Amino acid sequence: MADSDMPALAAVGLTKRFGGVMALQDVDLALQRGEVHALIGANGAGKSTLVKLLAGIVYPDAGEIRIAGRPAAIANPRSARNAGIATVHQELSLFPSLSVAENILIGQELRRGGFWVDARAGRRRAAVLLAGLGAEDIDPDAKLGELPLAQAQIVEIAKALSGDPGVLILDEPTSALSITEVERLLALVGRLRAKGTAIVFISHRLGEIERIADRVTILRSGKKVGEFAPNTFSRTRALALMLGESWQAGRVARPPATPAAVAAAAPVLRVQGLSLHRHFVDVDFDLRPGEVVGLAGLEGQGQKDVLFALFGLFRRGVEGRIEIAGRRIHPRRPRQSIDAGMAFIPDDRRSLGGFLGLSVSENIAITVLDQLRRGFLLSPAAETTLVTGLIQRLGIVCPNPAALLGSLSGGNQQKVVAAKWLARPMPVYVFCDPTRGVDAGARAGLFQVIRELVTAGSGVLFYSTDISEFPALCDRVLVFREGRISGTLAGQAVSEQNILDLSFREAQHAAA
Amino acid sequence: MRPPESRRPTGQHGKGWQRLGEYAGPLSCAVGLVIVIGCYALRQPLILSPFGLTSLANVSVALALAAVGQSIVLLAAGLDLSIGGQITLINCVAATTMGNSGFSIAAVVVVSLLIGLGTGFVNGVVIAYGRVEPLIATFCTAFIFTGMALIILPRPGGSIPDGFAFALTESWGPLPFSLILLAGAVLVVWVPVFGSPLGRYIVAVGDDAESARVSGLPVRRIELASYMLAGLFAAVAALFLAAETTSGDPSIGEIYTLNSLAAAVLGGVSLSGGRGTVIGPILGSFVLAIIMNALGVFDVSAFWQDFIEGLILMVVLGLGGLRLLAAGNWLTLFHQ
Amino acid sequence: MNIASIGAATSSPLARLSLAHRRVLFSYVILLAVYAACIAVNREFLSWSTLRLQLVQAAFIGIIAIGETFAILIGQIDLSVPWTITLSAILGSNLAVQYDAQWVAFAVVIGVGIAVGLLNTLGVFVLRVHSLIWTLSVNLLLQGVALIYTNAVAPTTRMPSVARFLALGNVGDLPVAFLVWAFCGALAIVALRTLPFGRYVYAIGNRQAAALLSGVRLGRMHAIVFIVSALGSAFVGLLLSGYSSQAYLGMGNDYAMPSVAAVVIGGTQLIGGQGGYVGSIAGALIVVLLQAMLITLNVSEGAREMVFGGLLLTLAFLFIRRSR
Repeated sequence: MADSDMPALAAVGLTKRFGGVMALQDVDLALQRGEVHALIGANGAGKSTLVKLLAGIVYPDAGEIRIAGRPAAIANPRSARNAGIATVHQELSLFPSLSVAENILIGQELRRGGFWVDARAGRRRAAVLLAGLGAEDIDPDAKLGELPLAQAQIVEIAKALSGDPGVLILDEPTSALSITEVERLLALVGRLRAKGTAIVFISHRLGEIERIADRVTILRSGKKVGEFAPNTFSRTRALALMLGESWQAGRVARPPATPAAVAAAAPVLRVQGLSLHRHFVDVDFDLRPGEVVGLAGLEGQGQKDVLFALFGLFRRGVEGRIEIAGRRIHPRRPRQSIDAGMAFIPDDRRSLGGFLGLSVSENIAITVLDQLRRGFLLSPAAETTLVTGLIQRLGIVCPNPAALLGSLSGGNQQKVVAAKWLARPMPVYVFCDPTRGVDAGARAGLFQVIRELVTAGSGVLFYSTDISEFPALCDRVLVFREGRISGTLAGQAVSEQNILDLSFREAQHAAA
Repeated sequence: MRPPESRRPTGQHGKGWQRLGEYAGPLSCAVGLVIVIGCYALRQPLILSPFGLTSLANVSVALALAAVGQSIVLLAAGLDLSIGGQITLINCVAATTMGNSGFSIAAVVVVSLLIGLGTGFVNGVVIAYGRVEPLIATFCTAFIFTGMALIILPRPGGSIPDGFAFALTESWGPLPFSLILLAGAVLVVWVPVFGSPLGRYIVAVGDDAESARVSGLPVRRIELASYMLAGLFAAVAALFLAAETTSGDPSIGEIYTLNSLAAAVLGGVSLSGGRGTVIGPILGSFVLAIIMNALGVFDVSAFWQDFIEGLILMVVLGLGGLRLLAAGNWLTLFHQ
Repeated sequence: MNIASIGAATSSPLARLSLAHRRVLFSYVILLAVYAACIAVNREFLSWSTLRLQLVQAAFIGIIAIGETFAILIGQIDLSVPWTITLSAILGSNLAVQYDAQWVAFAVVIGVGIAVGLLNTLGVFVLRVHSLIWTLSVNLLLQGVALIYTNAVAPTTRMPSVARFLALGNVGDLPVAFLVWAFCGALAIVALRTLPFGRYVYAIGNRQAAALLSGVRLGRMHAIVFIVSALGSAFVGLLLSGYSSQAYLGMGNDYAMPSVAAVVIGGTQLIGGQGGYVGSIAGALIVVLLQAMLITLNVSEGAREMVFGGLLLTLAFLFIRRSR
């Protein structure tokens, strides 16, 4: 076999068990030089575990990794790097207090006289690496903590490339990037491929996979269930393999048109002239009972900040008028918004909504403890009734209500987080990126919940980083750009294309 | 490192302001020091004489050494509540073993430094390898070290040769030997540590130990090193105190634990790791020590000293908190 | 979820319950072992009169440990205990004599408790200062207050008789102090298990940000916890003044470490969110028995400190680990 046919990295029979769970079972992977090999699968399928095995963060229970044909024991991150494997982690492994150059060369510092660190040479090398990535604008002396996420991610890539790796692993590199930044990244991946690096690319976004990947491996429940050779990738087949039977559940029907009665009802939420210096300005909208209003636009244009401000997460500086169910509020902490009738379901990744160390029951009951009292004490019976009812209603998969939240899958955790606000009806529900990192089956469940809430008469504010969710869910969409609402879409006009258009158009000021 | 959703993009404050913010601690300490010495001098002009400056240095250097040691541990996101106990132990050992000959002095100095490395080693092993929380681990070792000191020297006593005392507490014209000692310790220890990769590894571990591990750094060895370095500085502080009081005292180190933390915080070292300088805690120590020393000069009754000390600490810490309060967002407060 | 949590999370769903229960159970096993060791050292430990003394001592530490347990559960710590005890004792006894009324002592306890508790809340919650260093500073401040006060007003030698009754009195064979402890302890356990208060405490200790977003009133909870802690210490100050028939400077100094030790030995994690008071009860008894055993063995003060530190460290090593 010619040397160029030998895979840069071949993993055979990788198996890893955590506690009682098989995270990875007998998985094979072959990475060829100059090829982008995508790894896809639902949450919990084993992608992260595979990455961790290759990066040396954990050690396999069984199986072997061969680099250029020779077996390699990757016992820790250092030996992974020595073997030529570099990883760009999903949660960046950078240090805010150190400079860009120091971050890039951490662990591989250039020395002067064998002992002292040669900072100047380090800066120069960092600048060279950054320039190679097309990022000359990043100052090697800048403190990493000062950089925005997209630039920090480039630094992480530079750090991975600093050892001139033969294998580069990119773990969900685009999940927090805007559209232009994604383009830059994909172009970079193309350049690295041309250079001969073997690249592993992990992403939830099939559109990106279609564009950039040569080979695609699909994992499900820790096993490899399929592989697509170059140019044979099929989105529908991939989805079917990824999700198995639950795929059909992932389809979401379009919402029925907003009935006329809804349009006439008094708004449950009225926002006028809402402004927060350096975050958003002059935000006006109404939310009526029975409708789902989405806040769309490129990431970081103020949508999330508006929702935070409505929920009292900004302690000062919020100007304007907020009315919930006709009552004016100035929320300076979440409790005030909750008392006025607003519920907030945050995104999963930040683990803001759930107490991982508490049981499902304790998580759900936390918002209504006063209602569950008989006299002074909490009534276990009342709590059980409430919790089992909600578990059934939302289809939460857990062995029993006493199970720890941390033991549930991401999608089910998010359902529990939503459940605690369903114990009593609230006029306004804010869903802030609830489907982030949640697999398709659980996502459908969450959408179902949102549907039910609006049918019951509440109003829902919805924000997501996945643009395809807006047409499936929202009656109206407000598109944000640079802190202002650049346009509104309603009914049939809500489409990905229209949202994209408005995301790039300059904000229009209120008509005279 | 968490995805910085709460981070603001560059250009919000401009790089200049951000850099200034980092040095806010040492700068305000420097200003505070000037003010404090100024007020002192108004009341007691002799303080600016060589003798006066030397006595100011002498009351501050021990704390400065302890604060520097504490800062190294803090930078790695650790905590050393036993630094007072280490000082006590080494102080008592030195006072009971130091003889008059030059050889004896040198030997005891070396042994003391080794003991400092040893106590630091104990801390480091228990915390980095034993995986015990720094708070409780050093809480316990403090008692162990103090207990050992009490066994060696149950009551204040022991003796220190005059030559040794002279060498550390007198001065050469206006330049106090104690400051030379401090500068020497910093030059011999701090500079090499932070000029080599170890220094940035310490900061990296303090920023995010998991990222450090993933980046291939030997996290446990780095944590161990930070505690050993703290022990080394504690040993130097203990030797200086021995020279200053020419005796040993099993309760001498008690106040240095809290005060070293306060001086470090005052000097801009973050309690959660990653941020800090060397000049900050040194200046902070001088400010704190001189203020407390100045109370006597200003005819403040001894009975008020603890109260004022506690008040100063609370104000200093509270001011640091006020900076945090300026954060407009509840969530950034919790990401501490 | 980082790698360390994956293993824990996907293991048995009852993991936390049995883990926390296991720790409490283990603390009681250790209690039995320590008691057995005490008996082996000195048969006196089998006599009721000796045990009575230990129970009273344990009551003092146990009452302080109530507030300390709450504080550690929400992820903080309260080290302002020593001089809260002393200040409350000195102030209480003096003012009771000055106004010639017993209830004044209780008023002082409540006053000191609320004041110190609010001061701690100010630093820890409002100013976001690390609770360890803030409460230590408050401790120093209180020391100053006590010094200023005793300089201005000579301490009295007459302790309120209600204090003496609570500390030294008996109901039948049982010490009043122990009964008071039992009552307070029962309240604490009920509060943690069956009141909304307890849920909020565990929620805050588990993840403060999530508690905020769930509508938990953080400020109020911090204040309650620190006030309860300070009230406990202040009350123990009153008890101690009755116990030793004097209120002197530094009388509280030996009570900070044992109460923290009691909570930690009892299985409550220092990071917060896990544990409870049942374990702290065993912890208080263990601490007291250990101290008594060491005194019986005529061990010097230095050696006693070493043993204590070493033992607690060993227990911490066995039980309380950080994640890898």
